[in-house]
Amino acid sequence: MTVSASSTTPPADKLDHLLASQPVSARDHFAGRVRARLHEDPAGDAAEFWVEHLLAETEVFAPDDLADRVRRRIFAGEGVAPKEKSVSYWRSLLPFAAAAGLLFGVLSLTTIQSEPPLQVAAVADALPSSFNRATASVDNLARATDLSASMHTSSAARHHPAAAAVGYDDLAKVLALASGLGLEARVLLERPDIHSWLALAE
Amino acid sequence: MMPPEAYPPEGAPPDTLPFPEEPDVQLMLRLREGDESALNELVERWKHPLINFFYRSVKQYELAEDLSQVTFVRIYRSAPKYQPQAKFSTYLFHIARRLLINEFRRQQRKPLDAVDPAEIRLADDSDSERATREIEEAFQHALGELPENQRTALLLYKQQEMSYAEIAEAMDATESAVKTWIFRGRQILKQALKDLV
Repeated sequence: MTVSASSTTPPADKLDHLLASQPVSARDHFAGRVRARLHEDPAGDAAEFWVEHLLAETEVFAPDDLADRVRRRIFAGEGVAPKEKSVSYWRSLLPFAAAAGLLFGVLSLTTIQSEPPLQVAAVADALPSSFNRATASVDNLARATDLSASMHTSSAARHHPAAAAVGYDDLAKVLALASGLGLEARVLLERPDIHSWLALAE
Repeated sequence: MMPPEAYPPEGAPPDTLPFPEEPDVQLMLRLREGDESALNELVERWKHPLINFFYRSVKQYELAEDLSQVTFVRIYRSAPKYQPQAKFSTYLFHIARRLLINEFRRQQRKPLDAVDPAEIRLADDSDSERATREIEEAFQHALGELPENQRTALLLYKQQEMSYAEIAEAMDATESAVKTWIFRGRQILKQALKDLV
């Protein structure tokens, strides 16, 4: 930053420059106080004068409709802390979630696999083994399950475009679930509601 | 900010409140009772001081306005539990400072500071205007370099004209700490402008 030529300007002249550059409201509001100060101490410390002035005087624009903007944010739900639920609360929901997930899964499945139609009992029988296998690695699962041509290795499964949406950990669950249901993993991976299906393997 | 014990006791008449005469406290009590129009009045009364405070702290107008809006949202959300323990300005700037600290933390996680091209001004001013602007810029830079507690204490003291005791309460600090911050902050700012004036 360059040093201005005003280094020899008396404080009172600097005040005039300063006030001339301020908004009118700021001038009206503060000029009297600042002038009185300089009057009392005409040879005062210019740096101190500026610091005191600039600290005290900021006159930025405040929109007329600020209250409306605040109200819009309030109505949009901003600033509401999410209600924390206890662990026991979520645990109590697990049986319902599992039942709902299973039913949802079976109903969804019937829309994509009409031949032969899957029965609830058949799916329920298949699930326990698939749950156990979900703990195995993707590689082992891929070798152990009869997947489609594009999905017959874990590498292929990982590189399937839809795999990114579920993540590596959940991919194991997808493979296990697909195996347990006798489906190609691709069929599950490509479903938009794959996360609902994953709830089955939880 | 609020001590754990409830004061005043539930049902206490308004004239037992520590600051019954303060209009802002009355507005907060109205807001607490569900009078939504009180929020508008609070915003109108405090928008300038609040935006000015944030502007000096963050140096960006849009951000200053945004933080001001969020402060009022917080005020609204906290109204049902409001207890007039202190002057309203102390309460307001306590909330504002928490938001400011959060904003600084957020900016530290995002070091790249994008500059809006619209904010870049060409140097086509006269010499005196340029000199004034240089001083202002040097001041703003030095202010921005101050530790947060020194800057906030200085702004609350000079810009908001709060007392040492009120600042101490707003900043969860002792009065002696506040005085020290203000003294040190002033010294640093004066030093920064010394070569320019």
